[in-house]
Amino acid sequence: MLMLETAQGAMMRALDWGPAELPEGLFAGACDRVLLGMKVHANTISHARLVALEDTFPRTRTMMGYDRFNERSRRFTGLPGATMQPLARIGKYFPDFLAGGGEPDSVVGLARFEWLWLEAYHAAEARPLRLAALAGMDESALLEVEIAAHPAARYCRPDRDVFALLGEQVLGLGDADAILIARPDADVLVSPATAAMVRLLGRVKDANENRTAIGNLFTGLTEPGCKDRLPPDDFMPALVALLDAGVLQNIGSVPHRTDNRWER
Amino acid sequence: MKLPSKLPLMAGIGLKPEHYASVLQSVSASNPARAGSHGAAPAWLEVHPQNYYGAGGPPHRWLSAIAQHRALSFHSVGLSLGSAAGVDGDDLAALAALCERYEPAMVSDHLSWSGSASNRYPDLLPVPYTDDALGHFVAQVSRVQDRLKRRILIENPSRYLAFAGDDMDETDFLHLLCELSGCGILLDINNIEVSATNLGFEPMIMVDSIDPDLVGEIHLAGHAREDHDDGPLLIDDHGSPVSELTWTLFARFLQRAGPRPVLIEWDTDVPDYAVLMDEARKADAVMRGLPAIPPMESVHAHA
Repeated sequence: MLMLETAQGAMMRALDWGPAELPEGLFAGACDRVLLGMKVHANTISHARLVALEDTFPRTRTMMGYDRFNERSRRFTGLPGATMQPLARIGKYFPDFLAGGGEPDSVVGLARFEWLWLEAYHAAEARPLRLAALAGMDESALLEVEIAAHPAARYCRPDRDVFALLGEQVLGLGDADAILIARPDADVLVSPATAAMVRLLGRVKDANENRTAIGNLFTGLTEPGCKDRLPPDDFMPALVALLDAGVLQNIGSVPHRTDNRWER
Repeated sequence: MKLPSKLPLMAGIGLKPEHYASVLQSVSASNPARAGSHGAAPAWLEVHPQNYYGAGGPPHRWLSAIAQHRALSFHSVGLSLGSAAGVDGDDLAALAALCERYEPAMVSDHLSWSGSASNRYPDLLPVPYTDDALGHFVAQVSRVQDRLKRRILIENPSRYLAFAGDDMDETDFLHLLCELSGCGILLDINNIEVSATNLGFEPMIMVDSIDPDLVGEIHLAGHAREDHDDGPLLIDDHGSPVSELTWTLFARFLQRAGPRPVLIEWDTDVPDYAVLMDEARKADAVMRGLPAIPPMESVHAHA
């Protein structure tokens, strides 16, 4: 009796390494017809992987040119690290592959941006913390507010050519220190970020359990001698800009102005 | 097994991102009782759950909104039930979580395999129809049904290859699988046309041999055709209207089975929403032309 494991092992070898690996007698029918059938499967698999990469990296594909992108994609999808990913995540290591293959920094940076954009697109829902929710708080209450990075919040510092390219569509991006990606509501938003904003967001993301009080954040970033110290006067503008961008969320119990307090 | 709700005995369509807005608009504006055959809105919608494994974002916003108006069917393309290593635990957990979130009226997957957890093939590959494979499938389907706490349907595949060591034909394999695991059949009639043409058997004989009591959903789709010296090769690409032969086979099966939830599948070169709905209306019209047959009780009796 033909065992499942035997049949599948033979098919996998043939799909990965070509018709020469297909054992005679595994399938019924004429040899040409069997090869035709195997070719349909091989083409379907290859096409699905290539289209998934094209859909994930449309701008990178344009920057590289179709032929170069296709050639790199074909090499990449033959690697074990790529084929163990589900189709939706097949592009996860593609930017690293491009970097390892000597592609220009602009191509690698754009591919990394596109992957982060996709992560933000599929990230969990969360209500962003808005500046209005903090309005009217005294200083001590403000410093006790616990914040976390919004699940969709991402940032990157790609090659300057990527800033210029994306800057054609995003105001202020051409001169920015970093690119901020957010999805505070339905749509993914791309906006410019200063170095201070990135430092602050990075510290929030690195915080224990991805949460920290604003006071602790201020102390940790501005105390003398700390790594990547932020001038104290830069802290609040950076925090306000991050709140505006929708990349932070509240973990504690800051009341929202839309809450109906009469229901209590 | 729990059946949270039922798919209506009318035509549904596969939900594509390019149609999100049109679908939501049409289902919001129409009464479900007047959907399908009478209106411009689909009676129900099918999605590939693997496209909704992200935690959030626009796909979930659209699906959540649409699910308030219409029943959903989850047609999985990724469990790889036939893989010798068994269903991947993470994949099953993701499907279970999505089922808890949306409580679809139906869940289905395929009589196929798609590689292993360390080497995934985005395709539906054939399994040998042997006792060994049957035992494996029964165990895997049972595992999935136990985890999801519901009966699932298994779709007959489109085939380009037949194993030389098969112990039985596809119908017998499916019938035994249903008997031993309690699952049902998702009968893809286009797949029957594709397999019959490629492997050289008579499609009507297969359609006539399927036990209609086991069929909980029907799929209709188009295929591509290549002509070769040794005969045509049909490729199940879901990229064109349903063929005339598939419509004929569909009508023939309905004569024995009565109305069923029927899906129009169109996954490549996706047409305008109106074109998809025209196909759905055609499927409804075929079903309306039937004599009234008490249909679904017997299907659910197998649950």
